[in-house]
Amino acid sequence: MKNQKSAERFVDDIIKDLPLSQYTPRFREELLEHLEDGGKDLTDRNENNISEKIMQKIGDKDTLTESYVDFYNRYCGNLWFLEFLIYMPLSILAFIMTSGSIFICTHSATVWYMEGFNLILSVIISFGIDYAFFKIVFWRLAPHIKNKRDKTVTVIFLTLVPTLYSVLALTSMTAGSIFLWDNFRDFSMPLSAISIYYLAICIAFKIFTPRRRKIFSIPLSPYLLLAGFWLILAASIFASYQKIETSDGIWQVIGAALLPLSLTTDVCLNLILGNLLSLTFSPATTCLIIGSLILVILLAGIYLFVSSKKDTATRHRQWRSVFAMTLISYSLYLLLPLYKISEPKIDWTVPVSKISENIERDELGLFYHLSKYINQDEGFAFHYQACADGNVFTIVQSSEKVFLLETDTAKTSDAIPQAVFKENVGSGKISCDQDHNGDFANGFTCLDKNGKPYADYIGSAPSSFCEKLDYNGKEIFANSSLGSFGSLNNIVITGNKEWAIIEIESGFYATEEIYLVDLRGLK
Amino acid sequence: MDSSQEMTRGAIELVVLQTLSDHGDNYGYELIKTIAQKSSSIFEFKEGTLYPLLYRLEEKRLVKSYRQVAESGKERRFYHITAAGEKRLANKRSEFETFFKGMDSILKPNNLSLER
Repeated sequence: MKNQKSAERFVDDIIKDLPLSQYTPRFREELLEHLEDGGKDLTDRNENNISEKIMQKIGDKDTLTESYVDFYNRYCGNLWFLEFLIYMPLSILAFIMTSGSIFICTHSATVWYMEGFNLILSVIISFGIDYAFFKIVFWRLAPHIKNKRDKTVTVIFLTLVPTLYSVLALTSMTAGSIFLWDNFRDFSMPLSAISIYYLAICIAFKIFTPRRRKIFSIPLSPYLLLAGFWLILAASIFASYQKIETSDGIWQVIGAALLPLSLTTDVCLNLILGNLLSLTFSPATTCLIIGSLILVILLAGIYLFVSSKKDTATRHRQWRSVFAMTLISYSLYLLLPLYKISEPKIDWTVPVSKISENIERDELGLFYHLSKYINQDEGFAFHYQACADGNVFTIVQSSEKVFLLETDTAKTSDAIPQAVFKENVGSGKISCDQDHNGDFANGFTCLDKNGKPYADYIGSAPSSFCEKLDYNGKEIFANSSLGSFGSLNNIVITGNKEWAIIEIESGFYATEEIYLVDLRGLK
Repeated sequence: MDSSQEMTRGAIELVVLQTLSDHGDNYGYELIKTIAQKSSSIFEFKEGTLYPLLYRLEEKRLVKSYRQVAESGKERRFYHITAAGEKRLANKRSEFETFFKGMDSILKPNNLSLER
């Protein structure tokens, strides 16, 4: 070696394709010392072409890499075929999420060729992102494939298959069908969860050596316990279909289960998934921007960690910094639900019960809050329809679950009746023939901010400027929201003389809520 | 390592432990030189083989490493065989002795027949 720098270049070239572990910097250090000693020996013997001779003695890069990888294969490498199989759905998931994000960002429903353009654009960009992702993360952390050619083929394959799948999924989305999308969810989510779990354990075992395992086992045990708990919970909910039978609901529960999972591990990969989930399925602009920011931080952090040539202690310090930064930004991101986008602030002047919230809380339990912002497509989980038949209201959730609400039970009580689950008729098999009750609905008046009645209001009308709602001249509610986020885009009213169900849709990306309003005090 | 690579692979752990036991603490470069010298260049370890092996032995707590200034005046990572390593060495030696004894018994008649 002519000098230290050329030796470092030579060693770095060997190191760069090795699987990452805490021994990688040590291997680099010892190889450099080895070269130095070898060079000194040859110089002492007055030999020529020292650089070439040392390189020849050390062996070619592939042989070195193979020997080194063999050393690591004892952890998870013997199951490389299984790994490959379970990485596939994960790669599809990653691809669909990135391409889906880009597609949603550039989505234009007006011109068909723009759709095609966006589709191609999103696929190309996603391919680049995912190729880089798999190359950086999986190449160095997970697969135990020995030579460069096989690694390249694997990474390309892991990216190409999702490309084809993504084209099909996005094309079917464009065509208005979500068939592929639904099927994709059914098989890929549990498998992806298992992949991540498995990967996290493999990486954890690689990074922490037996010497540190005693210390490591302390945080590892609760991690395994918590992660296992969430995984089993998510899988059981997914498998049983007992509690929630709409695909939207299941998707949210799985997503919500994965988020705590990501919080229980110190492996950034899970955080990426959590962020990608939120990023993709929270179409609100704020989520998208913050999600992208966190994603950039995470990817930069992983890249810096993986590419760092520093010693182990420095790398661990860097890792802790990146992890802390990610945790802080992620925590901020999780606080997003506190900022309720598009939810109007309605001041009711009559007794009212938020029926939709009660139903969803009962269905989603602990996951209710998270589900409000990890949503698919339009930003809300459930759609509602309500119709009245005398004293009985029928509420249909997402065209498949039927709830009954009997108001005559409240005659002797001040309590507001609650909706009771009746049956699940299956996806898309029922719709409520909404009865606007003619004269009844005409008793309601929507007033704009100047107090003028909204002229076209009939019972189901666009009511973006509905600042107040009156019933026979008496105020039902006032919308005290500020700005366009609080606008009420659509109000549907159905009911009898004593009770009304008011459905309020406050925006394309906002939740759809239904309220049971007690009109008895207005008589 | 031109002949019977499989056998050599199985034996390298024994070779490294025995060398450390006989020659005391040593660092990678010197260890390779010592082994080559002692085995009349039958065992010429490549760096990609030796270092991962040393890491594996360290993980098994059969050796431990520390940094120290070598005779050359440069700081190097030295490897030291532990008590567990000595025990493992004794077991491995016993295994190999039995193996070679068996091989010797099998090969002897052939040798005799060749002599005739």
